[in-house]
Amino acid sequence: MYSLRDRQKKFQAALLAISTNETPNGLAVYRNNVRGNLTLTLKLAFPATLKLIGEDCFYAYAEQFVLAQPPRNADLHLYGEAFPAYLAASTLAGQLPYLADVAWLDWAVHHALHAAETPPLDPQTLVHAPESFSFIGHPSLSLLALRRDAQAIWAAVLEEDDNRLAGILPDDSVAPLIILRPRGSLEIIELSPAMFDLALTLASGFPLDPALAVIGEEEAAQALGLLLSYGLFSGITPKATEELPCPPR
Amino acid sequence: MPASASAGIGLRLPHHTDFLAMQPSTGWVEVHSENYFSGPALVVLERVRADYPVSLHGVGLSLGSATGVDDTHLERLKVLADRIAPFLVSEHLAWTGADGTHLADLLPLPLHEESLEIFCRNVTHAQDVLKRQILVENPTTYLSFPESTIPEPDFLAEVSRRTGCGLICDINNIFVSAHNHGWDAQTYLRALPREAVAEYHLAGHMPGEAESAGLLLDTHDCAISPAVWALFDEALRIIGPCPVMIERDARLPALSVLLEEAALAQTRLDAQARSADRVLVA
Repeated sequence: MYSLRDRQKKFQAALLAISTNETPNGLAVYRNNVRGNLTLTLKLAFPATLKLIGEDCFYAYAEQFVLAQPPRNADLHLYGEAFPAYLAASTLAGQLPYLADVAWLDWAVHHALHAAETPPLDPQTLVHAPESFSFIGHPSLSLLALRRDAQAIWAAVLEEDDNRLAGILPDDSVAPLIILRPRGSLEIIELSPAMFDLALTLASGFPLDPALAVIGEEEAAQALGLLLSYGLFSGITPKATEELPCPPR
Repeated sequence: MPASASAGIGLRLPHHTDFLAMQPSTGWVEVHSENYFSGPALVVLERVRADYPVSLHGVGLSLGSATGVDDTHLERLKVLADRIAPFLVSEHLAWTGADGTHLADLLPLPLHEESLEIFCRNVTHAQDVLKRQILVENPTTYLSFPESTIPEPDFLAEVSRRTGCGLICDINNIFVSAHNHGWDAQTYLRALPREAVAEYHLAGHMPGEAESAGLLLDTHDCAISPAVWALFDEALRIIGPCPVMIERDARLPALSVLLEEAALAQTRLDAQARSADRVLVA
């Protein structure tokens, strides 16, 4: 007799097996449910990607992804972060070079909508800040360096504006974006490359002074003020982060 | 807290706007807990909670997992429950994944002494963390395991006895599983501990097709069948009245359609109450 743990591992492996030949009909119901529920989860998180490539194509790639990388967190709002990279590595990316960036934008918006409701850092807090500190990035924040045409395609697809979509010229130059929801409404803001680098550095937990030194003292206060006004941070921590997180893409 | 035996509906995200606009006279609403762990929907739920009793019905706690429940998930549920103050919190006799994977489906549990001990341990842990009783719902199942030794209603009765949890009696799930496994639905109802049943669920089902031919599927995408209504009447006679919820998750109709089904359920609850009064008078 199987122990419960062994039975569950064996059952899970059967549900995630790629072949569907000779599946007993009871097991087939669960296999279909798992694939259906998880692809639906991706469909809800990637609305523009879905519209861009169509339901059939989306489901085909989503199902492959679901079987290869099933969720590791019971909160399904967190499932799908790796899907844009999966699309970027797929054959589809050769035909639609902007596809993965549209998917990244979908994910950043989804992430912002489901991030914890947290007020942005009040700049007055810095008056009493310790000598050495680093910022805590707002939980809704994503920083994305995307192809410049991706945001226009994303917006046109979501609005189902085919005329506008047809008029978008390919542009693979880089648009540095921040996507966040610090005050209840979604913001997508394009930054200058220097501001983007500063935002990425500070939101990744690097200490303030060395980061500001890169752009020069005169512009530092203005740049920091702008990032604070965007609501980029939710707080400060007195010590510089010792183990730096991987910078977001 | 709703009237002890009132009908409510499952409130789903596409009905949020209509529900807030209509302010319908339903007794209470039930939501899927996981849909409100984050995001704008939580704000809507708080507005609904201001006027209606709310039941939190989870689908991701995986009480049947051999490796225990995910404490991060349990903590999220506690945060939500503390914020919403629901009158019921419930989950399923099921598991959703092994060794850290989550498959977003209510998977069938082998029913034997080892799984009973594990399930009870997980329920007790959940109740300890949440600091409240939870209800456990009988699942729909489409297969059984050769190592199972305990009938499902007996398993649920023992879980309730050992942990103090309550039970959801999902009438449609009993009907569907009885068909799929050749059980007798009335025998199932009689085997449940009536004092532990604190809620009924009613939903629609469909026959399976292609590789699922011969099975009934718990689809929640259509009206409640006459046979399930009849089994509900039987449950009211055997177990007695308690809150009942109309559950629709796919091919959602207009909100008014769900409210009509809830009204039908309320009529049956009221009829059972009058019948019980007559017995007392006689």
